[in-house]
Amino acid sequence: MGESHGGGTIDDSAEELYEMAPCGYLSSTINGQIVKVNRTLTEWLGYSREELTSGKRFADLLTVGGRIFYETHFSLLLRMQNAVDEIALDFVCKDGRVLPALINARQKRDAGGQPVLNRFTVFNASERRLYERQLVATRDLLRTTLASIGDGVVTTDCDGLITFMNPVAESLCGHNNDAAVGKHINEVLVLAHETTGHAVENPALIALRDGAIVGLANHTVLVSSDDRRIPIDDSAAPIRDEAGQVIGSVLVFRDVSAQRAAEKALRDAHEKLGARAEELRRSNDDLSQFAYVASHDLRSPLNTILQFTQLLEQRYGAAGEGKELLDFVTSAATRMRTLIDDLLSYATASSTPVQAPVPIDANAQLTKALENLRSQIDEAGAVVTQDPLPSVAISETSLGQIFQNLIGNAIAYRSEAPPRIHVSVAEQGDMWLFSCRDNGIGIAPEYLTKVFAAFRRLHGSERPGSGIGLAVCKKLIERHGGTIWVESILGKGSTFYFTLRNGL
Amino acid sequence: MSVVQRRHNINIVGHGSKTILFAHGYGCDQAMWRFLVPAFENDYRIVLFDYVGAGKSDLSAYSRQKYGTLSGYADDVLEIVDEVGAPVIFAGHSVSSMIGVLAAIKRPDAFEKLVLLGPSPCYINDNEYVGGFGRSDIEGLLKTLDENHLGWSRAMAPVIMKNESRPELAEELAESFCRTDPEIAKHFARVTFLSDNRADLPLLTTPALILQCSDDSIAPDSVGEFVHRHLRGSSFVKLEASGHCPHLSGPEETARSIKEFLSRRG
Repeated sequence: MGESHGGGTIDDSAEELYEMAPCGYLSSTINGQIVKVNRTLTEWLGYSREELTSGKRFADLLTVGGRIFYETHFSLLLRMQNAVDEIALDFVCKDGRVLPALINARQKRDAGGQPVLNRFTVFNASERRLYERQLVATRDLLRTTLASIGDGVVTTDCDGLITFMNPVAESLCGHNNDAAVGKHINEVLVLAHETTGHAVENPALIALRDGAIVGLANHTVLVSSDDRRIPIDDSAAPIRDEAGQVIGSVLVFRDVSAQRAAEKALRDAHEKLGARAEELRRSNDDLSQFAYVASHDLRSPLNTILQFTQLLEQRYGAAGEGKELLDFVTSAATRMRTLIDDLLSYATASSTPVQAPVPIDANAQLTKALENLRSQIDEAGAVVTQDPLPSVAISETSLGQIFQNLIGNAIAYRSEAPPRIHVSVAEQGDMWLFSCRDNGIGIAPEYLTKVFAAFRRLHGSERPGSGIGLAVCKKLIERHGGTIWVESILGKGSTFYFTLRNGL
Repeated sequence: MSVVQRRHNINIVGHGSKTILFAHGYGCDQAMWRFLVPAFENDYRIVLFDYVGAGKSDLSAYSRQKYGTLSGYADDVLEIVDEVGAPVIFAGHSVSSMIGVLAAIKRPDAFEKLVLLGPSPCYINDNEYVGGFGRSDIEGLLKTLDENHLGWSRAMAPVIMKNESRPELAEELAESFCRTDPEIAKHFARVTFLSDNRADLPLLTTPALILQCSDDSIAPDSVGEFVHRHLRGSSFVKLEASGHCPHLSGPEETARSIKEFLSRRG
């Protein structure tokens, strides 16, 4: 038959097909000696047909590593099974180039079953091998990555059967990858609730069912094969194919034992601290109560002493040594009454409950305080100036007392110069920042915090006062949610700052 | 079934007062003796086994440390010999011939005779010594192994085992007797081709037969002759059979040579 044109059939002879096929054909004896080869293969390899069929063996055309594989695997498989398919081997061409190939082989047998001929088909696999090596490199990278990360990773197919576990997952579950693959995830990853111990649905299965990412779950423990209970954080996501169909899931989890232990320690410490604070508050209250009762009860016998001292003076005349002695008694008793009054106000400051105060005008309270201090101010020749003051959330008596104590303090600790005292205010968020600046003797840095402690007097009896005024201020301010502190330059003066809520 | 039997998938066939232990070489399993066994069945008790890692052996018994040297394999051979009853005639192919030599040096009483098919004490060229290969050639083999897992798929195997509706699928895979865990295959390749047992040869006292193939590119003539020179009193037969597997390429000739050797006294 010849070629027929115009839409008829085109004949291709078997001979030409053999020679020009898009793959290499090679036949050898059982011992491997090449007896026949097609033109395609001779062209690929660069050898002439004569060079190949004059004693060369099939294995001689391969790389050395390939030749070992041929002798230890390929030829045996061919002899035992008659057929070997899809073996990747590299040919070495005449010019030294390497031709990656995929080889199929068949063994022809005679009627008695004895092998007579080996037939090989050689496919050029240059591109494919390159692609396979990239694939292997990618797989190795993925494997190394999954082996290196600190989280457990488990993947499943769409039925929830495990397809992969990384080493961290293996050690947390106590199952190895080989044994776990093919098992249902519920058999390998047993999850329970931290406190109830009830079974928890595996997030991987939820991800499969809902087709959505399942976020971190708390309070989950992993029950390992040796019955350890490991607290874990886990999350899962569905794996989708290109068409968006869910084909599996990936579960990522991590051991949070250390984190849980730290959280618990923190909680315990917090609870302990709370208990301590409560204890402290109670003992403070008790102390204030005691101070209040004690000072209250001390007042009446003291008043009796003062009254009877006056009576003595009136009745038995006031002259000479007797008068002097009575003056001592009166002065000591008066000082004691001041002390007791201050103590009482300190105790009251801490025991009076804070009621939600109506905002009050600070200007009025400052004025009242200055009136109370009139005699001291006049005596010291002090000048007190002020900024316009706002309204603040504090009880009237408290703010009056604060001003009185701070200004009284500034006068008491004045320097040689006449006292100059200025009260100002600045807004700070929802707080007012008050300051009371003086030109007094100042406070050494090491005493800046100590001045607020009760009965702490830096100058003994050479200055008036009981050493309780600043402690009362501190207590009143703190009870109203503010703070008080002092900045000072020794010899130049001090500025007391305190904050109070703006009352809006 | 004993631990050793299960570990090595030991099969015993044939009848006779003497036992031949056939030890397969690198790359396959006991099935490679298929064409040789019939020639001995009527006169000998024949023990076939798979090394750990090969064929239907217990893969879980594989230890990279134990099988990091041929000595680890020799210890297994001795356990198998004790299991089936010493002394035995040992026939080993390729790397197994060296494993047999090591085992017989450790326990001379356990072996009556050794038959070494295509032995090589060292595959790597070393100064004057020509083993046939350089180290880079072995790397090339490892690369080829990486590209040919011969139907072995970690992910597929358990799935196929479970596929009860198509049992022929599992059978088909089981039939592929070169099928080995790729990691084990590569490790065994390294241990085999990078071993050097030249210094052990003079220590052997058991009578040995060296069967040298024609055109063996794995263990060429010069290597077989080296073994013959260093094994005292050994016999050497050059076979017509070509390639590295005379028991496959020329089973009748191979059987004849072995029988002739076994019939000799001492």
